[in-house]
Amino acid sequence: MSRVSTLRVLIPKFALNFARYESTTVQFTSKKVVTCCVNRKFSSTSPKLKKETVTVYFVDFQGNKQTAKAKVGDSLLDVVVENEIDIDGFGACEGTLACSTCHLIFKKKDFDKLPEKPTDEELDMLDLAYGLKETSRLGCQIIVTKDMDGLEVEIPGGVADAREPS
Amino acid sequence: MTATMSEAVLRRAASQAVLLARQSIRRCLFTESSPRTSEAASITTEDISDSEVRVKTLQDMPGPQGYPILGTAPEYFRKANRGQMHDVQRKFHQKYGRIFKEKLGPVTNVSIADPRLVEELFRNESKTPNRPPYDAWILYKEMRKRKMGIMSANGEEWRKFRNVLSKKLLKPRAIASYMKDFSDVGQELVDKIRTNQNKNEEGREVRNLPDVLYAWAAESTGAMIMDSRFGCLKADMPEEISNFVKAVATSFLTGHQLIVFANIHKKLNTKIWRDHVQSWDTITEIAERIVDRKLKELAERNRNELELENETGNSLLEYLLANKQLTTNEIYSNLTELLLTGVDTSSNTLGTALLMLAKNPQAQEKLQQEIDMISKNSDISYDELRSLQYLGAVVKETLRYYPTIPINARVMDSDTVIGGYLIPKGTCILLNTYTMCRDERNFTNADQFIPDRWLRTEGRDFNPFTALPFGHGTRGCIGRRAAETMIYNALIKIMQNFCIKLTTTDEVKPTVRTVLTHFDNLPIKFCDR
Repeated sequence: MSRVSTLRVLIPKFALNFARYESTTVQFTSKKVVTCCVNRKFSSTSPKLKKETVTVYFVDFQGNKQTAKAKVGDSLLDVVVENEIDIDGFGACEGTLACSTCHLIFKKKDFDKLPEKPTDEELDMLDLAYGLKETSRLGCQIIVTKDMDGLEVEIPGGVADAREPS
Repeated sequence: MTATMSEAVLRRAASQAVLLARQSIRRCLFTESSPRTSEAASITTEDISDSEVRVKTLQDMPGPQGYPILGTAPEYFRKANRGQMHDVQRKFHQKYGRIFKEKLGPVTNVSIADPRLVEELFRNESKTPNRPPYDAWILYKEMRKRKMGIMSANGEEWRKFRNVLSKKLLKPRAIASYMKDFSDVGQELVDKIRTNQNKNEEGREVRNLPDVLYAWAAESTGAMIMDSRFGCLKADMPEEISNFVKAVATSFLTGHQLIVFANIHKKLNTKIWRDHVQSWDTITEIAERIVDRKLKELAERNRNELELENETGNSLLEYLLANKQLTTNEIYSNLTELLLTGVDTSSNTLGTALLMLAKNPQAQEKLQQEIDMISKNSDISYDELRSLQYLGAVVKETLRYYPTIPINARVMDSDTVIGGYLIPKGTCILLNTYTMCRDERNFTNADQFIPDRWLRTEGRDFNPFTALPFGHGTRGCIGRRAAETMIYNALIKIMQNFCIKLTTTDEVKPTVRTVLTHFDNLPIKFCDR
């Protein structure tokens, strides 16, 4: 036990947090140590594991604005799902690039800053999106970054396809 | 009998019409307030405002009269039309327009061949779209008490399968992990083509080319699904696999032939029905044997490596075992149906692509130039593969020219207005991809093979809903990305090694047996580059 606590002191806290998720990436701890730490659970003084979050706004075609907490590293589709933002039919294929229901429209300046250009697969799906614009992207392909704090994206009318509002 | 049938359909349609008409008006309002009024929606608007509350019903829809009881079925059984369902449908569209109804035996189907109608249909899909299985499949599964799989299931059962499988099969990143396998199998295909070449002639034909392509598809699919190498391309194809492949072809052929009156065939125990049952029995038995072998192998590996519990292997099978959302029986039925659907479709698509390249030497040369820019000897990455724009365009144009699934289908689970007609729920709607893709109104020079029309630098000037050979949405082909990646890899290897030429000047005509196939006559030869 004493050996374990000594080791714990030596390991930076962020590494322990990391280790809870991906034990394989922390190469300098033996598996035993990691298991031990996980079992012990962190005391309330230890920082809880939390992904960094930013705030993102979704504006529907009627102008209603909804606020969402977006975890850095998640996709905008994940953000909509996790924040239970109610858009009928959004993300029907669950991010497998088989439909275009997670279609979002960006402001030009935000669109230009997006780190990844759309792949051919995404472009082919976007072609089939309702109300396609120059600055359209699929939410499942946009990964949230730190500098997206305050981002405002538009949900085009007809994401819910032509279905009746129930 | 037929009269009462259609009356019942019409009565039901009429009773729904008022309700639906009201909804449709709301829909128009909804559409008008949205940023872009799509073409499809504007047609609905027009049609409805013409008739105020009256929506046209199936009764108003044009279509061939057909015969009593049989409907239009005899048309498909005429000798000249055998295996030509895609063309019969095309001729009906030429006569009756972009939407028509026909009675096939006891059921009334609706056929559509207009991208705007296709868009309407896809935008009205529910969360569990129904791609109707052949009646014969259902009858078989019931008879043998077999579980449905991703191809034959519908509703919530299907949705569960789709959720689990699509994560591993459709995400481009997941497919990227099979690149090495697909590339290796592509090389084996080239070696096999060399072995099977007739040695004595200039520009050599390949013996049993369809079988070689089946073997390639089975090997690629097997590598992905089970992480197993069947050895289909090594020497002779293992008997087990060759029986499997033959059974798949028979099952698609007989399933297609049993499209009407399957239950009568079953009652009379006709030859077609017996062949169908036999083919499914073979498919199921062999697939289960293959899965069993792999399971045993994994169990043994587990015994040796204690730490394997949380580790998921690369193959789909290992993922499913670790994921635990499907029962063992469900894993069997799904893997069986994935093997079954993966083999016939992708091999035929590759065969058709080779034929199109042979027929169009300029396109072939351009493709070779693009492929020659990548190194012949090193493994190519998924990103590199993506950068081969012309390769993608060749496959897309092949699938436009000869869609491997020329006729797609849906059954809507609620009453839906398409093209201004009320289509009662439960009606089978045929989407005639082939007809639309070869319609001059949709594509300029529709009967010419022009891959360049797909290059984004040229600007695409057609409605994207016209050419959806894999379907679209949550019920779109689950093997799409895998199939594309397999085919790209095979084409790269073939183009690096051979020039493909036609061996005949005669017109080559495909037949349709669920898949569109040229395997009865694939007149091409391979010349060394």
